[in-house]
Amino acid sequence: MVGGLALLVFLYLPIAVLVLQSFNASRFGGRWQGFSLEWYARLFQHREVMQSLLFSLQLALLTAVGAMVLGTLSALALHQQRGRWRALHLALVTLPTLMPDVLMGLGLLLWLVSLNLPLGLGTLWVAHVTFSLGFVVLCVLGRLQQLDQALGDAARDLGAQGLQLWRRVLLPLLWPGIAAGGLVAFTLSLDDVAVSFFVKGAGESTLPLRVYGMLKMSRELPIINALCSLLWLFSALMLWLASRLWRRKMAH
Amino acid sequence: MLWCLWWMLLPMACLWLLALQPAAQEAQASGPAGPWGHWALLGDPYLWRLMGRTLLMALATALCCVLLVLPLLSWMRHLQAGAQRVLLLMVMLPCWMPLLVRILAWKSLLQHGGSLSGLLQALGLELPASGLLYNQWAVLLVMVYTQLPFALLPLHAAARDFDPALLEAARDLGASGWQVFWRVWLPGLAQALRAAMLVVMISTLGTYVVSDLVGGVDGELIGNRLVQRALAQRELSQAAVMGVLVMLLSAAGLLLLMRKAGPRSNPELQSPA
Repeated sequence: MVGGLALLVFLYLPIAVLVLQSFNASRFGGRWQGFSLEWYARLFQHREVMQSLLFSLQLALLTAVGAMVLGTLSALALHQQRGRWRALHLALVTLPTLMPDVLMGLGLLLWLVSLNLPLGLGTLWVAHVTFSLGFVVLCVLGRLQQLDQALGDAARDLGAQGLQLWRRVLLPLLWPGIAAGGLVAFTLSLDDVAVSFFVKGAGESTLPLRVYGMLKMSRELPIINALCSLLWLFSALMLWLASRLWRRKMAH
Repeated sequence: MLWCLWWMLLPMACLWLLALQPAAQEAQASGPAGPWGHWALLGDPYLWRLMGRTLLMALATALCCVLLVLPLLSWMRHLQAGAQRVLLLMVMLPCWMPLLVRILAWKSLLQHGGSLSGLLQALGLELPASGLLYNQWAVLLVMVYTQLPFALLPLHAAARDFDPALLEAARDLGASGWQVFWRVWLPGLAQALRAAMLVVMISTLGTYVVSDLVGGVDGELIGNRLVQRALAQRELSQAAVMGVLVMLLSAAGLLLLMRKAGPRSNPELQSPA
């Protein structure tokens, strides 16, 4: 029990200090100089940060949509496949979730360079969809495995076909899994530094990359404190939502 | 079914990228010493020191993660199901923070004039000018902090599935608390332990963000070198050589992982079910 409590302290102490510091009036952090919301106000006036935020949100949204579509289709295929093909397919889809970041980034960069593709939003999107696809597939696949096979059969017996079967039966049953996967993909995309660093190109910077640069230069740290506190809140919210959706399986 | 073939192509492509790495180096080889000039990198003793340090760092991170998680799990098994869920959520919550937030949190804690170094100074300890940052230990600390979920999830899944009747049986047969822990519970988790450590190690091998932000000269890892070569110096072929090294190491880890976990029980792939 002592060990467990120690772990909790280890986990929460840094965040507590971070959030506290974001309200600290002091310019350099450290000593407490009174409560202040100045950094939050400054954050929202920071043009570069806000631009990157918009760019990142856009990217994360696109990533979530892409990963949801591809992941769902892939999971449906996996659900029907058997044997060797299935194992290969599953390995391919889940490998990027485990692969070291530098390998992924470098591999993609080399491939994109050899394809002569311009680096930018498109390449970032490809990279982000690739590494978040596995999570969507696992979410949807889990959902599919709980699904009663009879439901599909019944719908087919009652005359549902193709698109109708999809829209009226499969999608409503699967969507908590799909949405949970999408939320995870969104969060991952908003969080990624390591892979994006390779494939971002010269154009607009994503938010994490912007923060990374600011952290490296130790510029405007109090503003980053404020930003990071908000980011933490946001991603916690997203994942809480994802797990809520995920837990919905009990209802059926 | 045509769909599935088609949709396998995209993930497939991502694997091909990696397989293409050696080929890409060959095509781009325009180093000073002929087409294979960039392989001369392998003769550099510093590179091997870096590799060694990276491996050591991965191992240390994995060990620390597991050592931190085990007491938690053994505490958890005494709790009610509801309390267990709350506790797990509490542990997972900070783990899901964005990576940079976690790094920054530690950075502000450890930096000169930060809270922790202030505390240590109050206790009368001398500190270097940079505070507690920019060394290997800072890298290890933050690395453990960021990799913890990878150790927690497989271990938790295994601990949850562990049959409590076995523990009861052991106690009925006269085993003390420690004996139950060491002789029954821990061996029961051995497979998950191995899996958790390998997963942490594999993902640690390729990190560079942590060591870049909190590591100093002696905190540099292979990943930093690779990024520097690839992006700052545009020496893609040299970076690719290092990429191949990292890939070989992580592939070895992956093979080990698949063999040990075996087809019978793969806690990771089955846990969402």
